Amino acid sequence: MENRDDQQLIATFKTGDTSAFGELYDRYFDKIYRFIYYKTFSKEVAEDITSDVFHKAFERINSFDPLKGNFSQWIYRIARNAVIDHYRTVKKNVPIEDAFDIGEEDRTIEEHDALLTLGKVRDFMSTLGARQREIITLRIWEELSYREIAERIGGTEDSAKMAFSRAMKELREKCGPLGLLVLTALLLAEKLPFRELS
Amino acid sequence: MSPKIDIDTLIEDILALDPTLTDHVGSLRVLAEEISAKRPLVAIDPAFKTSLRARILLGKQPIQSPFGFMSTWALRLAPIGAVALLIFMLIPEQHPSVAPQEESIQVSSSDGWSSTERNDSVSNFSHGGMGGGEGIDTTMKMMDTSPVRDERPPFSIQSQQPGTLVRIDSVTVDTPAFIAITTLRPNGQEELVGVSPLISPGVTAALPIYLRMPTRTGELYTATLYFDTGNRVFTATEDRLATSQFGSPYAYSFIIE
Repeated sequence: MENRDDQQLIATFKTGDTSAFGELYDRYFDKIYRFIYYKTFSKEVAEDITSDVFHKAFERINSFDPLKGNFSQWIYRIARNAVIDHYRTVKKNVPIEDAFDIGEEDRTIEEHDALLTLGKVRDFMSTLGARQREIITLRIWEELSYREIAERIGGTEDSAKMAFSRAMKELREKCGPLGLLVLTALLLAEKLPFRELS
Repeated sequence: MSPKIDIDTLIEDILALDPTLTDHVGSLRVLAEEISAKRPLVAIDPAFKTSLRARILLGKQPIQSPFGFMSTWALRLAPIGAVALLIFMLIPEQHPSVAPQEESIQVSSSDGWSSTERNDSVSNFSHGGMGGGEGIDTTMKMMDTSPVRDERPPFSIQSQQPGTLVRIDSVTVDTPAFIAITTLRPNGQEELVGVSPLISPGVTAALPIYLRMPTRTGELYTATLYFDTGNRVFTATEDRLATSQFGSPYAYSFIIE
């Protein structure tokens, strides 16, 4: 089958060919799942929300308007909203967009353990807003280009680059000299060769 | 975990936008390296991915039915058919019948599965006649449906264990028939993975269907009833899909546990 772009697949789906949605599913599943996991740090929650996202996408795709944005932006918006809705059940009146904002008492064991492995990174990322965390994870964890980031969150490639730069700058400022000192020490310790004493 | 992303490129991009950060290259590098090194491992469960795909594509049909012949209103009236079915189930048991409009032509001994192996055209299905080049267009054949006098399902199937055998609990037909087992390929096309031997008229219990590939835990499959045209050979494009009086095919999905 030829490599069709998202718009072509959506057009094909609207004629009744469900296999076109299957191709969109194959194209976006891993990305959406990782996106959600990096916000929730729970396999079970990520699976539930991913399932919700693709069911909603299937139900609503006939109303997708390409003039309002591309499919990538559309499905990522669904995913982002689904994560927010998930955490609304935990804290109804507090805007929570990912697991970094969840208090310890509301966190599952899995989320707690996953965040614990982040070490100091968790503390640093918690100082940022959800949007800035998202930009950083898209660039550093998902290794997306700025063009790809712009396709997901909207805007231009330059605006995505600027947003990332500002997020890193703010992160550096919020860490403070002491925080960076600790981080540097940790990194050096990880890089030191292990010597076995005879 | 060592950083995977090119940190140098990251730093260059940041400095290009904000040269005032030149004095802080070291700390930025430390931050970026540590964030990269702590990237969580994301393990995607392939069984979950596959079963979700099947649930979405099989469980919800677009307005244009994948079987081709069913109108939008037929789909919307399906719940009424389900209620009618329940009512009929409360009626004292009668000898169920699933009869085609046409008479059976000829019956001879043959193994339906081995016959399909000789016929390359049944290697996969195509939803409603649309899809990739290899698919079989079953649309026209779907128009030739057969009403049933009894709305009770002619066969029942429970969830199955992984393996190459699927067992139908019970099937009741008035005319020779087949039950085909299909699954969804990653590209969205249905694939035929097994066909029952020719089912004789009457009640058949514990019908085994041997598959050409083993099923896997978490995957979704569909068992569909077809009436034989009389040649005792299963051919998806020729054998008639068994349907209720409301046009609903006798097709039941089951999951591998």
